[in-house]
Amino acid sequence: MPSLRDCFEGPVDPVISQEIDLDQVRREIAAEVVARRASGSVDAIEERRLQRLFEQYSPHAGGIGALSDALRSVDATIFIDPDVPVTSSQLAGAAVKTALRKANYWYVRWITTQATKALSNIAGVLHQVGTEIDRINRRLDLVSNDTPAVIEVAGATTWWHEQARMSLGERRGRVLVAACGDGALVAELNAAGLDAYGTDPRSSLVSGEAKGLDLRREGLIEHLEAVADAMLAGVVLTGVTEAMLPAQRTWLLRALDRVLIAQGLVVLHVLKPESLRGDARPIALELAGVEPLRPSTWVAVLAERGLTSVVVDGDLDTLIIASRGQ
Amino acid sequence: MKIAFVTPRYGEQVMGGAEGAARSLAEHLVADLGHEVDVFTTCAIDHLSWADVLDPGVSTLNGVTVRRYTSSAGRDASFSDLDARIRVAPSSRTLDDAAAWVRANGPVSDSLVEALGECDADVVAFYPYLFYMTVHGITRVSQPAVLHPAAHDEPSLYLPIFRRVFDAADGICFHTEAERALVEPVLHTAATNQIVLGLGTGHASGSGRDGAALLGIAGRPYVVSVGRVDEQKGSTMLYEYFIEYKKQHPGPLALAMLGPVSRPLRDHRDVVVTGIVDEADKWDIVAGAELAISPSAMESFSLVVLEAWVAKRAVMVNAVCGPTVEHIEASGGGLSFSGYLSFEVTLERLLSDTRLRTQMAERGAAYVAKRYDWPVLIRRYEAFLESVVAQGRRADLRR
Repeated sequence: MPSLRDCFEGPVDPVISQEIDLDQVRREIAAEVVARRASGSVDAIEERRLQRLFEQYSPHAGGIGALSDALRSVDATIFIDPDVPVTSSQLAGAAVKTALRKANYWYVRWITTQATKALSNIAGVLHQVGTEIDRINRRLDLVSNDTPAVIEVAGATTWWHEQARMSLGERRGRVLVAACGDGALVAELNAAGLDAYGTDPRSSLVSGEAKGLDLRREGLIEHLEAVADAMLAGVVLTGVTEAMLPAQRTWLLRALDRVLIAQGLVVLHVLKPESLRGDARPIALELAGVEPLRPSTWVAVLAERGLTSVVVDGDLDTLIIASRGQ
Repeated sequence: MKIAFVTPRYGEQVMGGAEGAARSLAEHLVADLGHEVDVFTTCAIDHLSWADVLDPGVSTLNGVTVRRYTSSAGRDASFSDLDARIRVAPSSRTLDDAAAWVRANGPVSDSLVEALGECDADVVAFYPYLFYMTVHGITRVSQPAVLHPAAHDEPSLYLPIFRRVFDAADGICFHTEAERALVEPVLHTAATNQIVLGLGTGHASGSGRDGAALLGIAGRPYVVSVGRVDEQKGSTMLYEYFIEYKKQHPGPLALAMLGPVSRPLRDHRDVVVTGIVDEADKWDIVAGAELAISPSAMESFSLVVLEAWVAKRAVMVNAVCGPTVEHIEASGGGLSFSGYLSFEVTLERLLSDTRLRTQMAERGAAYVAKRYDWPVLIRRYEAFLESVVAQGRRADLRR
């Protein structure tokens, strides 16, 4: 993954980066924090109180936050303080409260200790659950491929852009171009009066803002996950399906069902399997360990989902234009 | 182009925050690019009561036409109970619960929402997402609507009513990538025309006076925190952390807290709470500080962090605040802390290493100049508004 700084500014100025090794500074600070905690430089109960101040207004993640965030919130509330506050707005109120606290302290402390122990045990179980989920997620990472590589082959041309533009016609609504590269097709579609925007996970993607284009540095799957239902009039997919795992293809087809309006169009540009063999086989495809579908298979798969396809053949690649009920 | 802004409060008395950001954009659109700008707002200044304190009607402020409307209700007495209730699983609250929360949050100005129906602007910008006039106004306007969410990770973001608000936007203007990354998966906004813009910063406008003298602590070194003094903004935490730090590190170091006080703090010999100060004093005090601290976990942009860099000061930020962490990671202009011990060690390290502080400040200043200089930023905003206007009111198709 590119660093955040790359996203904004391009590579770090080498002169400045030689002067400050921020990562080293952060490592040194982290090590010193560990050392001080171990040495007990701040009383543990006091540190706990101060940590609660930090966590009290930390981001909430009310709907879909990470489990670790939720566990952090649980940890922040485990400790039940036996020191009942004694401030009072009443005359002598604080003195009375202090006396009561002193008289009952043995009892309150016993209760709060039991409660804290019980809560700690519950939190411990939750942490174990979290650890187990992390382990499962790591296993899943081994067999998944969150952002399939964009596959291109030498010699492929943009002959199909015109066909794509014509098929989209004068549709109203947004048109997504996945793996948009430098935004050439997005620009062509916008020039034709469409409202197109693009996504591309590749770090080489040129920012589209200078050209007045809405281009995002995102993978197709993560992008579609955040698109509301029936928001798109068309989706153009180029180079993004070849390296997909079977489960990802199924997910994509379901996502297209969801995000496209009823008259929405799928424009699928795929490389022919025979153009991806031998020395022409891209490294990314080799590493993904998957075999791209033949155009005729795509047509069958789309038909299963109620989409009728028109196929336009090129030398190395094929354009499949699919829509509902035609 | 004629642009309308809709915001719950507006004026010179409103410091910082989303409403201050709206004013900055509005005034730069007028002054730098010659656009016509109307602002639809209430007569309120105080964000806790939303009481009408200004006169309703039309006035002009720095070239911007300000249309003020009275409110039928401010912050309702039931708000804190409602707010506490929605904090538990906000995403599963009903639309009625959410609508009640929005109403209780205030200010409720149906006359403002009505007036939006007659608005003749080319595009209407709502700033921020959280308030009654945005929730009800964004579905009311016939022009293309741009939403400036100014969102942070708070329970209200997950209330179902806001899905409709974001759906009704033809364009979304985010402050930071962190804000965009937060909002997109929650509100499914990925297909909406959008930009990550941020805010422009002014030039340091101090007059070279001694900041410590202005604070009444002449001769003492100090660190500074600018922004509302409010528990939710991390002010209480910073206060407590600093006092603990001073127990561990006795000496002349002081903490200066600049900004309106929502939550008074106990007097302490090492902490100076100034309340609101004028711009010149602010810049002189920040420029005189050893470094600046942003303790808040709830920011969608944090102009004060950028202003610290303009004043050539390194910063410390809250490690769980996405936008401020994004600023320091993208710039190399500061460090973050994630609890007391890391606060202590980080502050100690920065205070003891002038070279590190200086270089961080320089990197921060370069970052601000490159991304947040007004002439560049306001033209980016103008181009974005033009693209939204060109596409028209698409959101109507979806309702």
